[in-house]
Amino acid sequence: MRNMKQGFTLIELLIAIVLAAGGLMVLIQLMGVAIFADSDLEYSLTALNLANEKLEELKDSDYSSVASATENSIPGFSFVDDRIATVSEVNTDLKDVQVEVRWTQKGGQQSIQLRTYIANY
Amino acid sequence: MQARDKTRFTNRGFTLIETIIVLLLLAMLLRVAGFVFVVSLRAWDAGRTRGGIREDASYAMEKAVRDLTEMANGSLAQYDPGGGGIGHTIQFNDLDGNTYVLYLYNPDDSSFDSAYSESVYDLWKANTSGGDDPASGDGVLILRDLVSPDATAPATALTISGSQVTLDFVVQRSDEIVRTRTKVRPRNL
Repeated sequence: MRNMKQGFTLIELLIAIVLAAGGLMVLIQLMGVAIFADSDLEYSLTALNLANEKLEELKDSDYSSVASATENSIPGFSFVDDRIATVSEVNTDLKDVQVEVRWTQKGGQQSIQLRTYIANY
Repeated sequence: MQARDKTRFTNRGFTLIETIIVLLLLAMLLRVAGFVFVVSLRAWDAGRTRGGIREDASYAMEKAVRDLTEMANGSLAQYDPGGGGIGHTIQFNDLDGNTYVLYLYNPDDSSFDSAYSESVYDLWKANTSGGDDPASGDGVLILRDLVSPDATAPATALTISGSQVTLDFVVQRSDEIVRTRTKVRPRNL
């Protein structure tokens, strides 16, 4: 009888407020996830263009100078960790070229890879 | 007497002090939540602006790369109608013999030199063999709001080096800057 007639105690209200705060925090974190997902896309698109850039450079150079190379930074694109071109000879007139652009995001390393053959014609 | 007091005690609601404390706590909580909400909204807005730039830059990049890749053999040049500055342009023919010019345009800058005398330019594609005149901003708009790739040493968005074209798009809208760059080697060399 006594319990049924009393309202909320201060403690109960405080607990309710803490719970509400916890809920709000989760919502706010979700907003953050949505915003980061957006910049994910921006980085991977730019990284793709930069990988393409390296491929085009290699296609434009003399066949003999198509060789592996590592760039540890790309001026103007500070988010990029490195750009690695790996070249291996398939036969005397054909090279297998792989370009990888890597960047760090959300604590993990992301990368994009392009691969092609360059022939000595 | 004691029994009556006890009854009164258990039936009571909040005291004024308790209510005030709860209200104060709620107010603080709401204030923090409101602040975070405003910050998130700003971040969201920035994200939307960047997303818009990204979409537009992707489209422009795709279009320019395709055109340049498929250009006619030996037609790569800079557009130079009257001599003088030609930095902000790339001229090429398609396989049907039409001549096109990709150029940076700002109505206040009459020359096509590579300096960014105005802060913002738009990228246009003109069909000069079809009568388009880049000097008056004819053609198709490809990308808006291009700024200089490097504020200290203006390099231009369109550079020809040998048989290779560098496309360096730096787009600024409100406070957001998005940069993307690639190179193209025409395939019909």
